[in-house]
Amino acid sequence: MRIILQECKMDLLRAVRYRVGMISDLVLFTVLLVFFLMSDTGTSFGEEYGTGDYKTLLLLGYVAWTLSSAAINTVAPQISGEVQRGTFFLKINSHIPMQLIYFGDFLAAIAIQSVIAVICTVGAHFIWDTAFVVRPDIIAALIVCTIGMYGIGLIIAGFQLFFKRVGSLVFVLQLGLLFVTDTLPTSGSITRITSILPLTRCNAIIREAFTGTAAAAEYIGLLLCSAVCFAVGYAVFEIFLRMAKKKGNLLMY
Amino acid sequence: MSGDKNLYAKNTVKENVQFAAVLRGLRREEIQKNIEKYLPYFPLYETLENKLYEKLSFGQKRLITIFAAAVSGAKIILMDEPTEGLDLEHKKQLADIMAALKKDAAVILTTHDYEFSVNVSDRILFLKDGIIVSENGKLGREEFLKLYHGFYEGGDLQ
Repeated sequence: MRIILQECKMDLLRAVRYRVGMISDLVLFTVLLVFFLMSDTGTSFGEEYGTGDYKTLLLLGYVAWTLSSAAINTVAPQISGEVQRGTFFLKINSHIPMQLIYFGDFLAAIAIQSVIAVICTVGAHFIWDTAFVVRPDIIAALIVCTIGMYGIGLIIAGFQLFFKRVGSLVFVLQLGLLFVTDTLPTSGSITRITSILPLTRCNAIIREAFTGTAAAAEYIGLLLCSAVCFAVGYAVFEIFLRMAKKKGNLLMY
Repeated sequence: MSGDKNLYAKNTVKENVQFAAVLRGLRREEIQKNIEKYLPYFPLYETLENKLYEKLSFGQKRLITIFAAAVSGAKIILMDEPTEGLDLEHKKQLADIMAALKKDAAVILTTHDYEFSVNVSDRILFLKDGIIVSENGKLGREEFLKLYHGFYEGGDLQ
């Protein structure tokens, strides 16, 4: 636990000192949200969930997507940079598994993304009169979802370790999630397939929780889905790490 | 350790040293104890501890990286060309540090700097084409050069 917290602290301090990365994330996520809200995206959410406040439903999904994006995009770029800088080898000699050490980076990324989400939410409230939603059931669903999405990030990081360049794959995946996980209105046939992803389940749950129709079984489904994603991600990362060590890939970045 | 890139550029020296030790499972008190233990050999730590690692000179980065390894309680320290790019003052500091580190850890270094290796090493191995061709205890300057020329510069030991 101390290692995870120390890693989180180190990463937060670096993020604050670099600043530009945080500011560009804030600008990017704000501009995207403004575009979606101004173009009246998500009116169908109102009909689907039986409320006129479709903008808040869109905002809820958008927040879940930004957190999930941060979760899947934490480990792979970090590993790429660390192997090249040499700091990766500090961590690989630790007695704690890499997947847990990088959980500290995940926590730092989620903390920063949460600040961005709060800024976006406050801005949207004043401009578009969307609701402030601070409810434990919704926050719990978001936490469980992001942990599951971290598992998917670990799969990408495993590929990163072994194949070395997966930058565009992460970008395509982040963008793809926006359109296939019901963050933006998505057809039912697609969401049935993507319900293997925690984000799709989370989007449905937080919107239903907002309109008061969420069922306990759905929370359990999300919990199981996230647990499976985390476990699979953990195992896949371990396999790729062993393969990369065996083939000597880590020395040839 | 190799080069000057083993620690985080945008973290301070203190943060980096502590992090390296935490990664090896040391507790706060143990880290402080180790810092105090090795501080006499790394006097520059006290003046640099709150500086960002990226702001240090090449030689300072090299020494701080070794300090981090020492504080983290590493039992085996590998150094690849540790004197490369160091000025005379830093080289002398490194030799003093090596003397201190040898008490607690096995220090293995690869170097082309024969004067440094003669000064600090208890055992010197010569490698050729990836094979150990000569294994020695502490060597004097003359003995070292004789073996060196014999193995690498057309001498009769080839």
